[in-house]
Amino acid sequence: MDYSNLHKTSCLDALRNNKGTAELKQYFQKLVVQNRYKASSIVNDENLCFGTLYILWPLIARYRPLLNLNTRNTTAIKIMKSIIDKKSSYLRHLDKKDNQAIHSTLTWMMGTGYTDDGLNSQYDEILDTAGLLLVKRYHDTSLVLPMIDIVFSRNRKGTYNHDIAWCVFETRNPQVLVLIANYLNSRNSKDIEFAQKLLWFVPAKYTNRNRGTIMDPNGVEYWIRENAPFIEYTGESFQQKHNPAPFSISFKDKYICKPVGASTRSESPYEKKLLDEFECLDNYTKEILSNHSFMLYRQNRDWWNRWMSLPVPEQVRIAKTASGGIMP
Amino acid sequence: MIIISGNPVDINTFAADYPTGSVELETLNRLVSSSFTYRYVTPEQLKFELLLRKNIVEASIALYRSRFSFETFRNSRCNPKYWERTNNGGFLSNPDLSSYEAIVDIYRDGRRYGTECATAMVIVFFGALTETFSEKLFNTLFPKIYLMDWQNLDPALGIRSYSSIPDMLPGDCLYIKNPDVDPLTPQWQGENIIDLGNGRYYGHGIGIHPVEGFIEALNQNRIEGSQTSAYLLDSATRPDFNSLGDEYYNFDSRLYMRFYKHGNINTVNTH
Repeated sequence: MDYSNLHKTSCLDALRNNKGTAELKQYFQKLVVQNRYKASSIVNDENLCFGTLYILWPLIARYRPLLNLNTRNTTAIKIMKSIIDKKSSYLRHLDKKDNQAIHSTLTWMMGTGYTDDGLNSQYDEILDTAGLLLVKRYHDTSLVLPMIDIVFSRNRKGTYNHDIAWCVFETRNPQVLVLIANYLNSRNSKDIEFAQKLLWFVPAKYTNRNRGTIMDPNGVEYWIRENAPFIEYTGESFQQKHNPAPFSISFKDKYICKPVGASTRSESPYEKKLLDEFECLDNYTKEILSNHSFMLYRQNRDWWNRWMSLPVPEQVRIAKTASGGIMP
Repeated sequence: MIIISGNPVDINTFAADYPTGSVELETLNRLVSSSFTYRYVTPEQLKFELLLRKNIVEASIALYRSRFSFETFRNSRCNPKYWERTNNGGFLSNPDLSSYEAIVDIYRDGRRYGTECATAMVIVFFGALTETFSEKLFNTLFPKIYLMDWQNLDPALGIRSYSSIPDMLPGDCLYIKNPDVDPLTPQWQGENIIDLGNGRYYGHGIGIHPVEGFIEALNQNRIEGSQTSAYLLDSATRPDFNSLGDEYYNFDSRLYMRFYKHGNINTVNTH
């Protein structure tokens, strides 16, 4: 039977979906021997999914001299080999020739491969590392959504999700918390439990008479929206501690009302003096002061300027006694 | 500075109980010379912390000397008699056997085991407790153990991470972060190390070295071209010495009461 016209996108994927991997391999092996040009053409199909290439990888390796693979496939095979052998040098060599090819191939691997997560342990490791390469080497966070899907899908199955969960946070983008918070609405209790575990540090919990203390997905979004300029990446992970808080609010930046990092880059002598005093306060007072400062800043810039011109102990007194908006 | 029941402590009161060069004495010296005030309710509380810290150090060295190997979670392995390897690479103790024996087996038959550094640290804490508690108390507190990095920890261990700690003490678990780790070797994103005292540290998979030795090892696993070195964080992970101490001191009296009621006082175990 000629499977090549079964599906207008990728005939190999269609064959795999309809007949299974055994028949896919059988068909491909036969085709390579009978018509290597056609075999090359269908495996080079731009719509081929990475999972199918992975399944055919041993056959491709065996018949490599007969096949004329395109750049995507040759690059994917080299990437897979470097991941399995843990040899960065393979990638370095590839990088010198065509950096863009590696990046686009990694995007293809993750973008089309995530639906096959769980094929086997080696495949999962390749996906995890492809994600890490995208995020840490190419600073490409466009595929964080499928990565989060993988994290939760593996959590449901009880399989290894340590590296891919770390990869999600290594995007350093607080918006991943909103994507994780979507799982708080899941019908699967394991999803809810795991999302709460990952988001424990976000102050968005409330008590429900029937469900106890639970986390509000809208509360997570609100917290991020309210504090966006001041949220910084901490780099904490489950390798380091049992309750990692990968993001936290920089109270000093919130106090001075400048985005994370900006205060150290462009602080005036007066701001420096305030920040020096601020650093000597306890964490509780820092939080109160920074919240009050940012609230005033957004309410009325003149009020904020007047309040900021006060000595720090006076600022603390006002912030501690104030509830809601005040006029200093 | 050490304060017990509101009174500053003269180190000589305790120092005589410990030999020169011992972990306990080094810990005492660091506590006393600190600008931070360490408060204890009773002398026994302090003594228990010194004992457990010493046992953590000894359990680290014992684990290093066992043939327990470094493996990624994907390739982790354990003795199936005592542990079930879970799909995520963790180890779950056999509910039909003593969890105390399951921990002891890791030290006794280390060649059958392999995992990453974070799990090794939890094994060190449990290993120290097998040396501190009787088997009966250990099994009462930890009837089932799940070893998988820092997740799913038994609450009775009371493990907590403390930021900006004033002093690093022998028996503390510290962390060296490798922010520019090579994505191909994510297991080297950092290294958990136990402070052994005398400027030496144990980190599973790297060995026993000064901090610089670990930084050097991690730096060899950075993304190419990185100029950002691995570095030691000023945080520490510790078990809850006080609550574990309470269990230690109260266990005999609880047993005494139970057996006294049943007229079987002679079977009371020691720690």
